[in-house]
Amino acid sequence: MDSPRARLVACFRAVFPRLAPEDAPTSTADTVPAWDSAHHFMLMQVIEETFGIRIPEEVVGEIDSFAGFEDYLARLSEES
Amino acid sequence: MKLIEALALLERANPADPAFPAALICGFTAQPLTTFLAAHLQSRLPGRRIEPREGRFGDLTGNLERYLREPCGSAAVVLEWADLDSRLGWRQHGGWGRARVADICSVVERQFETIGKLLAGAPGAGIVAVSLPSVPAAPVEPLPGWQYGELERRLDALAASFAAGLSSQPQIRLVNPLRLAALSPPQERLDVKTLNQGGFPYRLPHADVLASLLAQLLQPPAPLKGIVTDLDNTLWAGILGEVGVEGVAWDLDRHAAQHGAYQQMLQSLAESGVLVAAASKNDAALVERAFERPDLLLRAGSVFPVEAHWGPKSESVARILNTWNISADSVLFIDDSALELAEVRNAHPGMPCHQFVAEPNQVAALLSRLADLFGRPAGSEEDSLRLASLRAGAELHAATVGTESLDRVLATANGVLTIVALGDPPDPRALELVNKTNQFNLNGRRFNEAEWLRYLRSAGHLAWMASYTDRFGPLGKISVLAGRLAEDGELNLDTWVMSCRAFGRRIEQAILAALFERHGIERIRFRFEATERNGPLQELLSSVTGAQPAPECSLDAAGFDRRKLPWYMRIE
Repeated sequence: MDSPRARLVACFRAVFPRLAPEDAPTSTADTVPAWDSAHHFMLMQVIEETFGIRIPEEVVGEIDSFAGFEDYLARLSEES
Repeated sequence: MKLIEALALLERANPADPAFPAALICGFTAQPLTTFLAAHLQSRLPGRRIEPREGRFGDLTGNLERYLREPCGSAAVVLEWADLDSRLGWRQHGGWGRARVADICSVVERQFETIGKLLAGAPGAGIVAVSLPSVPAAPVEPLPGWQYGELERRLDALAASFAAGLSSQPQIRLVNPLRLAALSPPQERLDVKTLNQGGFPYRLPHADVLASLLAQLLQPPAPLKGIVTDLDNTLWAGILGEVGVEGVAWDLDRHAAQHGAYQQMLQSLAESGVLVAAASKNDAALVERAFERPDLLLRAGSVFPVEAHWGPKSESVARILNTWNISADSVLFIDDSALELAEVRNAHPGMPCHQFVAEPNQVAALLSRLADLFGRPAGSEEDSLRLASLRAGAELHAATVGTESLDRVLATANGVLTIVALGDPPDPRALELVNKTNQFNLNGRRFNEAEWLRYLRSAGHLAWMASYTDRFGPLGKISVLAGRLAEDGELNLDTWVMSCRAFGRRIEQAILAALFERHGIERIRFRFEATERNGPLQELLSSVTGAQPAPECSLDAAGFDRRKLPWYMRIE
């Protein structure tokens, strides 16, 4: 199975197809022009589906970068 | 399909492919349902690029109105209770309680009426797929979950009445709630978290299933055309050669009701235009007598041809396919013997095969599969003519095999070809023919309903449909032509299809003659494209133009006069 980072990159590239794979890990809502609320919602859905998790509502609005999602997934992994 | 797979599938679409607009009309946040719908349509329409369209959040009827003012090709209307009255949802807090039941039902009734009127008032909008509310209403009425409450009963009655009211609208197709429930259990559909978070009410697996059913309604798979069935221990219980004509059974008393159900299904499919033939290793005279039994539920007249002998089944199937003039991949072979199935599968690799297992529940599952494989959204007059015209074709073929030449037979066939201009709205049979004909097809171009209407209504465009009958019986509506007429008398023929049932009578020659002689056309430019299966059309173009067919090849009246074959029919 791919690493969590590779799977997260795949999620980002599915929602933002024009994002280059090498740029994904440093991407934020400010650096990706297409990252609006609708795409944020889609991104959440794709990440939840891919990692088999549910991201709580209070967390959803706080994360606005690849690094933020990566940290959140790492925390979840540590907790489990 | 996973959401990430749906996104990837859409991303892979070729930007150069012609667009196929698909609108999702709902009152909630359309994404990611739109993505799933577009992806399922994309997988059904290779060579097209799905262009998804959405309306505004919270404006179900406004979205529907705007779509119907300018229909774009393909639309799915997805209803949920909260979009009919927000008190039935979770996001807005207008108050719950028994006291509100009557008022909520009255609002929902008015909303259903409005939507029903909008849908009924737009018959030219093409096929519209509709899904009734699929997630439960919020618990407005405080009742234990095991009790079917007043609100639920009244809402279900309103939805049923709305659905029944749409039944007279052939362009409206409803998602089957039972199939939806089988694929997506009701208790696993609602997602209140995504509803609160982004206005989207579904869990992703439910969105995927719903989208796939909507896509199937909008772009149904091409139904199979024929069934070849075994007889002993399949059409009936028992072996004819052992128990005799009276010994084979299909009734409850002899524990064979599942065979009766199978017979009824075949008869019902035959009446809807599906071809049914029998292939049995059997004594031909016995089979003939068995088919004379008056209690047989599959009537003898509905089965053609019957291959009953001791030769290999694969050879019987080959002869049946030849008589029907259809390819193996359009026909299902059913037999109780795994050996026979293997032999037929080996000889006809593209043919779907199914083993008949006489256990009642397995037969019930088979009948459900037959309905999926052969069912059509609606029946047509042409369906009932199909078998009769095949029999007529076989008679014609038999007549020409003997001493009579084809010309002599055709000259005495009393053929009548009727060519009429397509009206507005056009006869739905025309589009059906265009979209399902492969062999005699100018270029394989397909249309959806909205594209077809737009094409026919464009300036300078003409379309005709031809019907044929002769002493061997009516063939019905068998050919469609559509093109643009230029001022210099040149017809740019964009579409020409003819049913394979009409082959061998020189109807195509008569149609060309009618275009030149009766419609004053001086030259026809064919928008020809070779496809894998349009060999018969290519043969005609070669013979009348004297050259290998090529895109934009043309034929003038003088050239046609030099190369035409004689045809023998009255043109009306």
